[in-house]
Amino acid sequence: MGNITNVSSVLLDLGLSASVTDEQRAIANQALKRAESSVKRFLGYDPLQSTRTEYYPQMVSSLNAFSGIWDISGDQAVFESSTSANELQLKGLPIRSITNLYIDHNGRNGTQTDSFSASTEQTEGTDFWPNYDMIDSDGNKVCNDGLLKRAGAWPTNPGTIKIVYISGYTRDELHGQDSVIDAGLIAEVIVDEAVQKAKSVFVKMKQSVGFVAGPLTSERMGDYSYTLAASAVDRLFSGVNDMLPSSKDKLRDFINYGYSLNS
Amino acid sequence: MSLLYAYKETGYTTDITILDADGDTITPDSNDKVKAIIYRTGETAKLTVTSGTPTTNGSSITIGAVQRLRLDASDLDFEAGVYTLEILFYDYSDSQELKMVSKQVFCLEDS
Repeated sequence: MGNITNVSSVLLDLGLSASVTDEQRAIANQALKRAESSVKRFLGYDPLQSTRTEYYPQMVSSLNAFSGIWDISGDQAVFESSTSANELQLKGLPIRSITNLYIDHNGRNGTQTDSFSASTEQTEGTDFWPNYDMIDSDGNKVCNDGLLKRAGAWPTNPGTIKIVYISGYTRDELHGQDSVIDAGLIAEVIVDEAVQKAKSVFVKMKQSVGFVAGPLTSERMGDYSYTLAASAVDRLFSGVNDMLPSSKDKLRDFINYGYSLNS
Repeated sequence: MSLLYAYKETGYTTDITILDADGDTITPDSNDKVKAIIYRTGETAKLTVTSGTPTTNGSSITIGAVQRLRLDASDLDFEAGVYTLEILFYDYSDSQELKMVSKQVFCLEDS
């Protein structure tokens, strides 16, 4: 069962809303689940609004990693690579709010005892601020590019920043029912993909009981031969997690390119 | 299973027959309950109607050999779109078990 959209939308698009069997409903549900998974994987994040806890930076930058400066943080000397920047790209888009942000140079991704204690918490507006660029229909700030800015440079050592934040789109936004933010294309693609996957399964089921309309365009008995419809075959035998090119095109505006290029 | 089509802020009435595994009609008795829920997966239900307990606006389910589901115009004021209508049967005689009757596609259109 999907989370972003509803199996009823899939059944309606399949033309099965007036008479669906339990088996067809089960296939549609499974197709919806896989379609949502494909979309999340393609985007690189879950578009449904939720609270996330993540550790940053998530990679070691080898470029100029051995040049930089020594800085003081509390009672520690900290080496800051020259690759450090005053912008940090978060994984989830768009950022709706930052609940907590900690910087602990000895945090070790939260595995160190007492790491990321209250004393390491940073203050929004003073120590850091999201690159807010609009106000949503509830009057709250929204940061569409997922960038966090800092007065100084962000640490470069992986796992030294812990962030608890809320990101993603509301259900109204995902269903195109919000007056300010329209993320309806995401739900539309999920339904399209689920319909496509369900149809593939239905065609395979039909094929297993003999020749019926499907990828076979012709069949002859004497000197047995058959012809396959190329486009249908491509879809039928492509990986079940693949997405249609048209779906990928629709989702391009929602991809977190900044995170993809930095990870 | 059927497609139910309604318009926003316009009343809607439909009859629901509950069948057992043999295809025989089930007639709920006075202790049984029939419930209808309009929702989307993961979201708070838009409307819940239970037999014997009409909503404030008057949406109701009248039980009998045929269950009459009446959705009042004032209760159909949520966003237009495609939803699932779930029909549940609370069977008092069978250890008060809650049973799934059917899930139907419910389309609400702007009137």
